[in-house]
Amino acid sequence: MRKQPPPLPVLALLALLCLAGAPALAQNPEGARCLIPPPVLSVDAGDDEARAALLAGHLGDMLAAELADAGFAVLRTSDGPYTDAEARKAGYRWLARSGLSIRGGIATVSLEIGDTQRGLVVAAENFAAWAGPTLVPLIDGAAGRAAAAAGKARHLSSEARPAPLEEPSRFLSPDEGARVELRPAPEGAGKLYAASVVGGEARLGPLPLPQGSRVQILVTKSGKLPYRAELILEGGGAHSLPPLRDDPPWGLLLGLGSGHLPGLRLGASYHPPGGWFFVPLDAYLALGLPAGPGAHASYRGELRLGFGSYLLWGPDSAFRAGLEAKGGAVLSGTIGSPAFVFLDPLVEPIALFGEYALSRRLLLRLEVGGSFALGLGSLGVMSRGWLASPSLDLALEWKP
Amino acid sequence: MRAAPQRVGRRHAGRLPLLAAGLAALGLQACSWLADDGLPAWLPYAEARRGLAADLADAGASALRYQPDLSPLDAAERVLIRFQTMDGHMHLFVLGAKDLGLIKAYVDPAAVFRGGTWGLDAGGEPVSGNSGGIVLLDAASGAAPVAATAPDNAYLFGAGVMNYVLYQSGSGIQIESAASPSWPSGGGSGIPISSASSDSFTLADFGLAEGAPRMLIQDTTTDKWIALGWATMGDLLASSDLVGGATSTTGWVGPFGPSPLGSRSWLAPDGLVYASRKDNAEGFDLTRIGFDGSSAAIHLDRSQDVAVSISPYSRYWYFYDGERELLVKARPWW
Repeated sequence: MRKQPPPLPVLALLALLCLAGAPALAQNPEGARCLIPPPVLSVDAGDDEARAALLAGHLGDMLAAELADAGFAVLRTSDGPYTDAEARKAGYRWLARSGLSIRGGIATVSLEIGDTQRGLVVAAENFAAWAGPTLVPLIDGAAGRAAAAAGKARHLSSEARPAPLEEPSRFLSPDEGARVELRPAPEGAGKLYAASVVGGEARLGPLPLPQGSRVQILVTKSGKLPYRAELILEGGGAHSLPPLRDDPPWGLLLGLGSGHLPGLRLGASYHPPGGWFFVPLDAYLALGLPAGPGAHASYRGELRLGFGSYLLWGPDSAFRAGLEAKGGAVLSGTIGSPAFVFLDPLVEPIALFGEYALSRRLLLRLEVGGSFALGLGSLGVMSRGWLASPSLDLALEWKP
Repeated sequence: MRAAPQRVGRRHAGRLPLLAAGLAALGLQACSWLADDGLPAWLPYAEARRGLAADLADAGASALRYQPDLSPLDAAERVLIRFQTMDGHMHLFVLGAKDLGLIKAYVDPAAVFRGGTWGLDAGGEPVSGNSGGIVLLDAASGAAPVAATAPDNAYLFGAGVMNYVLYQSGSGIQIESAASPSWPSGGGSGIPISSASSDSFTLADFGLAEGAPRMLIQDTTTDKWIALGWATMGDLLASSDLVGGATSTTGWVGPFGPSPLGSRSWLAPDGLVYASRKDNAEGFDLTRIGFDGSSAAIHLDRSQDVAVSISPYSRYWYFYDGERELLVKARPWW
């Protein structure tokens, strides 16, 4: 039978903590404290009460000893029993209950260790045996197993429930108005938290994340290159962010093209803020050496203006790909006397490109496109239609 | 804690179909309906050019017309280009040989213009003729008929002080002559083409290369061709056998296979030129075989709606692009 303890023992426990147990317990983590009231003893009339008391005392001793060996900070009380709420209120995460009942010479032993924070029984032992000397090793074994199980449960619960962040996470940035986004790692999965930098600081939270959480942050601002980093959030303190670098809107290209004649390509591109669109301007020059005794050197020059869009991967990615469309004209002619110049307008309605960032300012770019000659009659040399071979260009783009 | 910036990829699955469409569009490049690209092979050799679209429009020429005949006559500083339209009209343009400037345009000239080939008479004037008559091309007054006729498919030309009419007669050729400005009316001498062979022959072309006779003969039995040359008309007239008596010859060459152009072979100033094309290939090759045995070729990208003119009367060759209505005078590639 279990009695409901009066409030006074709670005060007594608190006093005991302050006078005797507090210094020792203060050295132990709060999550390891275990309260052990005395076993509940029940003996039938006719059974040996003295022997029963001895066995009950041994049960309490073994339970306390095994729990101490398992890393718990134990406190044995002289009264009890206690509920989970009473033990938790007194500052004890774990509560070890035990009982011994002897009826007709048969002893029934019960052990139960509970997690008062989660309201779970993490270890339990029940057995019955002859109430004689052979009961002692059985009690020892049961206490050891229960303590081991409780110790394992305590270890798992301390890893699964770190302390949450209690204060807002602060990010210091010189880029006023920049947007700071935060996602729990890995791979930026999970809920997005965001704030703007105001007065040199962006404040997020308190975030519903445990201390020590690894997060990914992204800092963006129009006209600037984005900044990504992984951080570990600790309680308190501020994270200093580096100033965002300017996103240069202009790029200059130098490359080799091989669509119709191998040639030199010079270009420039304008990238408006945002990092997804751009305006390319390309000039292309190829020379043909005289192929026979009566031949003059010939040349082909092209000038194209277009529009491009990145379709895969963001502005901070090392590799990006997309589509371009361009229009322009081709000048074909001879060098020498007499010299001729022919003009052929054409469009390049589709070109695929891929670029790889060798550094923040130098890109390697490969482009494959198909051109359509519009045909201008006797002013040009091209027939109307798609050009037989797609153009293939390899270039380096430098962003000053 | 500040970490180094990371370049992480983020795929945008929604944009993949656009890239796939781009790849598909580029795949269309493999279709057969493709235009030529690159610099045309004649461009490095171009000496003069003329767009004829305006000339044809001014002359009221129908857009439906056959490929033109070109007759370059360097000595007369003329290039004659003749269009036959499908509605039965003929348009003759006389261009200056140096820069292809338009000298005169004729619409439906006299019937004699419709047949035969152009040569240069002893006076150095362009002349053409058939059974309908003989005309000289006079830039000032136009066609000047001569009171004479010539057999159909005859070659009219002048050398020295004589005017000649040359045509095939059976297995040989007949050469008639008269003192300029008169023209012969029969007579003359016959020369067998090749008395050592029983094959059938056709006189494919004749002309003068700076006064030296040139002749192109086709052996229709073997489908081979030969270009023959003599230093003077006297040497030609003294020959008892054309193939055996020629001063210069390319030897028999061919067969050339099907030609994408109207002609398969042309007579050049010192050899012959033939056209050839690989099966199912765009464009064609022009190969010149010289009297010295040399061979040189040029590849032209298009064979549709184009015409080529090579003649012993000119040291240039001509290329006409019907799609662009562009006439180009070019230096030899050999």
